[in-house]
Amino acid sequence: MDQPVVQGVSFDVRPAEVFALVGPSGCGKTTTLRAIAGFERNCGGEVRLGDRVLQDATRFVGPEKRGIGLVFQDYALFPHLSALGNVMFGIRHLPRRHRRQAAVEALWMVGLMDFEKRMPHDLSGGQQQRVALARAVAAGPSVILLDEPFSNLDPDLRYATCNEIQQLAHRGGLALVLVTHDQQEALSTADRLAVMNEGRIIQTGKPQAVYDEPETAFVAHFLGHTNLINVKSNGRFGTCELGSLELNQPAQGRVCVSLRPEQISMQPAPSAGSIPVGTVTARQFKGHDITFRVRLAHREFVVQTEHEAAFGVGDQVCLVPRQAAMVVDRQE
Amino acid sequence: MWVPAVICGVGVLAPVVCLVADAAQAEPRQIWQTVWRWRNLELIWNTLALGVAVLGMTTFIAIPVAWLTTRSDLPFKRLFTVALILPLAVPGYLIAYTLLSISGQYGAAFVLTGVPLPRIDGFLGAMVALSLYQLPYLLLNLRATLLDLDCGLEEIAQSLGHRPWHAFFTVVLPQLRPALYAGWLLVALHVINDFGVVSLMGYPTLSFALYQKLEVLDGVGASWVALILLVAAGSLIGIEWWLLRRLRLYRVGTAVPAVAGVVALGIWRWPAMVFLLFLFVGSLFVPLATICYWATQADYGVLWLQLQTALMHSVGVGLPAAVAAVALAAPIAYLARRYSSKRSLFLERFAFVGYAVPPLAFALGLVVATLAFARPLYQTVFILVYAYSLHFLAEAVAPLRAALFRASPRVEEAARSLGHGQLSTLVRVTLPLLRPGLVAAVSLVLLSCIKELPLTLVLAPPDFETLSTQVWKNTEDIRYAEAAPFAILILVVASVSVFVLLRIERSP
Repeated sequence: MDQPVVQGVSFDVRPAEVFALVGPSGCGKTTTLRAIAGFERNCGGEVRLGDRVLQDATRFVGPEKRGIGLVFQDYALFPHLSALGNVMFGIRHLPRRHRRQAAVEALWMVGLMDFEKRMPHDLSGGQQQRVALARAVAAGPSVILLDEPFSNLDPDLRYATCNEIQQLAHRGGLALVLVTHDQQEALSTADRLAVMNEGRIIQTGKPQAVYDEPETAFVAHFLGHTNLINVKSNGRFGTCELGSLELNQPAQGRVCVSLRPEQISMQPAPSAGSIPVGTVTARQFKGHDITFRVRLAHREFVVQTEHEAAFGVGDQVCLVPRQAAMVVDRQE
Repeated sequence: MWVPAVICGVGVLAPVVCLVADAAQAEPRQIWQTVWRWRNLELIWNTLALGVAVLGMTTFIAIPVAWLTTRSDLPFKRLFTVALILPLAVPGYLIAYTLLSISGQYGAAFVLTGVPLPRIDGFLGAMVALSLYQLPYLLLNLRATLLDLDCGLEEIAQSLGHRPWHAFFTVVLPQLRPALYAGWLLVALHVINDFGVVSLMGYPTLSFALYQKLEVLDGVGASWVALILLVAAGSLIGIEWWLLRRLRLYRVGTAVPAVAGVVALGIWRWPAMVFLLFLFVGSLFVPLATICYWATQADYGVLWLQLQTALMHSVGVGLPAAVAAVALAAPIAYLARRYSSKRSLFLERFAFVGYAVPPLAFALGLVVATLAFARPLYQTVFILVYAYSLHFLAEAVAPLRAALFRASPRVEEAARSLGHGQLSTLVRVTLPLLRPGLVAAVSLVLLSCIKELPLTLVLAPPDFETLSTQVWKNTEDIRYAEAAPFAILILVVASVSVFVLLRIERSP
């Protein structure tokens, strides 16, 4: 246990913003979340909320005094309290006679009218999550942390939850930090995200920016699929198995580049010429697009095309980049 | 938080250490004479023989019964199961009482019909009573395993060409081994530690001899027999631990069990029914009928007062003991959840120590310790409360752990993040979640205290009669009618504890 689980993690979240911490399981996301909430006492570093220092070398504000809401992965509803009781439990800032009304309103907000008297074990997983969310919001925090909010939900509910989270932030002015290992949900829900691996943040930015311009091979690989290609570069161009490539930034010598499957186009192999030719080894029809695997010069490339593409397994094809390849840091 | 665990450890071990010190104090010649006696060898032999006989008998009954009630299409499975598990809560001395009070020349059978049933006592009586009493422990273990055994394996064995019988012996039986070992340990421990049955049956085992030596105030002799008992109990636990540790290495990850298929018995259902019916009549119907018969024969003039006093004594000592046991068990259960499995196992072993130490040896150790260090407490109810609470600690841990298991630590953290401090969280979240567990734990320990015999006999103040001592003493004096009302109260207590146990098991 000498090696810290999380190290050198630093980020800031603004009001009315959804911030996602995304990374493979065991990368330290949840530990980071628990540290913000105040459940990890012995860690160095600083946690601030506005001008208030919540935790540094000398100070430690207990979780109950931080005013930071938390929605656990297993929701952690109080099994002995009704849905309404759960939500009322956290409302301490209002005079007693207004609490009930506030809790009812919070349940309305998450679409659970008429569920006030239900006990947690009578609620479905999605409903439990809503109660947990209402409970966190009703306590009146300025920040809410969500641990894997999508992991126990079916696809329809995921979409609804994603919407709800965005509304809470953008309309309610709350800062939301969510932790997930699902890159798809992170990309579609967050205003900004940070990719974590092995206890460190690798890259932070807007989802589109991080997706389009990954700085390292890990980020490129973790957010969506990609082809990592070794290139002998000379300025803005390089050569590799596919032939000549344009690079997004000048580089010299051997570098690693990322070309996403949708950034490569597939063409029938010309009858003659010097362009490298590959063979289609697999075709995976996915509805609105098709994923091909192409064997070319002893390695496999993944290519994604629109659903009309008429290639089949065994066809000879050549691969042409649609845009400049991203130079990425090969090292983790 | 570690304090309660240490209290338990010291509380149980200190009397044992006093016992060892006391035993070692005697002169070497005297020790030599007390220990190397033909009589001692006989006692050990008797105990061993009884243990083996009870283990054999319970195993031969429990395996077919467990299989019949889980896997076959036998009618009234549920009824048979309940009927055969019910004796679990009935103390051994009560079963011995029914066997004795029905047979022999003073028995109910002779009084009613004039035909004397051969008196069931001695080795045979002890074996039958202990087997009936211990059967549920083995049965419950085996049933639990059979119910979530992967039946797929049995079917695979059959598909590979093994006959059903063969498949049972080669596939199912080996998988029952952990359940058998765990059950055998309990049964063997209970046989070694048993006092009620062997004393009434007049079959001299180690613990019976220990009591006799105490009666004649042979301190050194009693101490040495107690030491032999301790070694026997300790080695049993050691053997079981070793067997289970070896088994665990071979265990494969939990498979998703195939739904248990029901085996059609065909013509065999009739012998099976007769077998179970015989067991049912023997273990439930006859004892109940006997007790009821004797209860009608009792003269309630004097008994009425005795009943009230005994009940008051039993509850008066049992209740504080139960509260103390739960107060000690709660932190242990709480710590066991918080810490890693290895440390929590260690903690729970602590709670088990008081249960495993033979009660008579524990009682003798306490007598020695109070005489040496706390003379004013000698023969007071305080010592009895102390002994009860440590002896039944393990019974309090289980329901508390079950209740805590349902309350994940996340729930407490959720309360903290909603602005509630540690105290508020404890009062408003943790305790309400624990309440059913606390109630169950207190009632279980209280009921066990009421049924307890050997600790009560040795440690209670003079003339302090409880329900259990009244049953025992009246039976010993062949006053079966006078014992019956007390026995009925004990039976009521026993059925309530079964009810509580079932409630705990059913809660998710």
